[in-house]
Amino acid sequence: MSSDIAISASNLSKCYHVYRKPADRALDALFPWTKHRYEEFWALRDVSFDLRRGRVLGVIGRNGAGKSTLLQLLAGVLKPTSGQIRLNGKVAALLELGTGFVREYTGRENIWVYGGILGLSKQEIRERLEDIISFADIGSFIDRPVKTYSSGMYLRLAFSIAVNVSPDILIVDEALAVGDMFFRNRSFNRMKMMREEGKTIVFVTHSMGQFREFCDEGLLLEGGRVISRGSTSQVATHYLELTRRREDMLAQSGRLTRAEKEYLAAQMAKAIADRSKDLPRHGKHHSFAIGAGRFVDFALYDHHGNRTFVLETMKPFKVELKLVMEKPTEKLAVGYWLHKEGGEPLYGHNTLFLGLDLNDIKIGEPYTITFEQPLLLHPGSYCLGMGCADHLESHVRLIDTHYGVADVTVIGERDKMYFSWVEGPTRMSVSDQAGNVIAALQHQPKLSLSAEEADAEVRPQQSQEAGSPDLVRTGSQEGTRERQADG
Amino acid sequence: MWRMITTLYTVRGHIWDFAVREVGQRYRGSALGLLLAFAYPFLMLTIYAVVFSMLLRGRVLGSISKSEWVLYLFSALNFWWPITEVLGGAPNFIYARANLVKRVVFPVEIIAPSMTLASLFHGLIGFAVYLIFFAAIEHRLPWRACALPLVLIPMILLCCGLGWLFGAIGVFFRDLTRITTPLVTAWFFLTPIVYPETVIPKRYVGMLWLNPVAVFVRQVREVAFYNRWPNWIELFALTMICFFFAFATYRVHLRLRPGYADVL
Repeated sequence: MSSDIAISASNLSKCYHVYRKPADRALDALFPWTKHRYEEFWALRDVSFDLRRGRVLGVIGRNGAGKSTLLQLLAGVLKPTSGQIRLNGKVAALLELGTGFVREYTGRENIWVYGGILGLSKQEIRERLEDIISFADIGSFIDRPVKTYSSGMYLRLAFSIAVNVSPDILIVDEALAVGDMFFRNRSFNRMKMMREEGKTIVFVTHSMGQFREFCDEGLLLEGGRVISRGSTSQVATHYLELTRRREDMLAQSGRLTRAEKEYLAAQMAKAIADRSKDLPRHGKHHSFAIGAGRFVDFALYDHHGNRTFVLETMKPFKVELKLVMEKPTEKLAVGYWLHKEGGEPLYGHNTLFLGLDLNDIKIGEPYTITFEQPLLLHPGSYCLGMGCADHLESHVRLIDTHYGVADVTVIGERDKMYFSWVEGPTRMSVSDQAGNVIAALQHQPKLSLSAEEADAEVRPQQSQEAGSPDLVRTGSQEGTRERQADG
Repeated sequence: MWRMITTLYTVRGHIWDFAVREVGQRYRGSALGLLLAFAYPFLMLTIYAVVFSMLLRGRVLGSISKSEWVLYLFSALNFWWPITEVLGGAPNFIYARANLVKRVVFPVEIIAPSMTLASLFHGLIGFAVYLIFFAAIEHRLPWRACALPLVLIPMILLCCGLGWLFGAIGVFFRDLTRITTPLVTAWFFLTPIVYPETVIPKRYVGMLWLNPVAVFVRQVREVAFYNRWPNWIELFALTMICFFFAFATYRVHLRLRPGYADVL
């Protein structure tokens, strides 16, 4: 193994022995020659990957995909059933909440305990004590037993210790989700600093934004196997497709309980009802005519023409809505929009307000309405909404309106900061008291509807990703086929 | 076996740290602090002195006088308590520290020795109080008690072993806490602590070797009460027995250890 590789996992598998009662487990361990009393559960199967020093690996996957098991194996808390892990350097792990704290000890004492476990000498701990306490920033709680801590304080202290013991490899489970916004930002900045120092980080997250922004490469687990490995955008796309398929499957196979279905229906009805209360702003009355028409399909394409739910900011994208009208309308408007969860539309368009005439479409036949736009929204998580309505003389009649049809992730350039939600041409200047301009800036975002132009800008970034020789994409046959079928 | 010794030697710092914290934690927040540690054996000794001086009504057991009887009793009891403490707490040693097992790479094997040392600390404080009483009653000190550290070695090994064994099994059998209480009581009465060995019928005395604590108590009384040197052969044999017990339970602990993280 070259010293350049920080983590090397080969054919890792972890099989849990599921016992009906704990006593059976002890009996099996003490009398291994007797008949086994367990059932097997494979949390991980044949996971292999290498991670180079100084890289950040994001591990994503649905609940139960084996992410935590993988991290526990890397942290050394669990032993793999088969396969090998090689770690080059000192490992600090932040697994779930409350890293190995002794609940009765104070925060300060736990620093000593944890530092000792990580193999720091008393002198080393003493040197770092102040840094740890000031980064954790939990005030006088540092001298109280950790059992009195809130979950946020737990996390602050645990994270502060983990990053301050100067590990070579940092392993972080979804723990950071508990921290407040300020601490989360601080944590990410701290991890970015570590990345720049050449430390290796493995990171589990459910936030596609964090995944895209912070990680260098991704690993997608599903059912304990590696489904996708490579650049974050590739892995993120794969994941979102997986989630969508999964949700479709759930809805179709009726695995939702009846209570869940009723709840969802009620939520939808409530959302629509709430929405209708908001809309009179236009000075018109709204009513519903369910059955006058409906959306039968929709799709989102990125600037490469791939069907996806991950779009890049400032790049063109395409929305396709497939609509079947069942009754004639006076003045039909069809639109799509992107909105924040539970929020108002932020970005999108509508056929009527731009003056596109839809009155010729035939009843009962499917039509596809396509919108192509450059994406002016900044990176973040959005939802796709769509609606069609009849703009009558007296009021607007909503025909089929949906919010939150799909989750859309907008991604941006790595390490670039974005302010607010929407981009636009900007001029800024600073003038002194006399009115002299001392600094000025003009910003004209490059926008285009053509994929070629957008691609030209993207190329350098892609070649950089392709230049990493250790990026391998593995996947089960099944996973790959499904992906192709989908594209 | 050699590996057990080297492993424990490398983590000796942790064992000590944990023991110190365990002791410190018990007295943190109490107004009297460490004074409490002295107050407890002091109170116990006073209670025994008062109760037994009334109960025994001048009856003397063998050649032992009434006031000496209190010392005779306490010399053994004082070191029986730490064993009770370890045995009673052992089922929770690992179970209560699930955080450490599941979230970090923690040398779990240090818990039993740390707890043993922490309990022993109270035994030693009790012994200091005992010496004060001894001096007050006998107007001299049992100077051969300087051999006490050697006598305590088998007890430490025994406690570690109990900690490993019951700690490991306690993870899997949660009912163990209920079993330890009657076990402690039974063991207490099977050991010549509140009665002298001489009341045991001659042909059963040999069976005391089935109970290492009985042999241990005998040695403690030799040095601390009679001010005699311990029976070196018995002490050596006892140490070997306890060492092998500790080794065997350590192996059990190692065997069961991979399952800890799965169960907790």
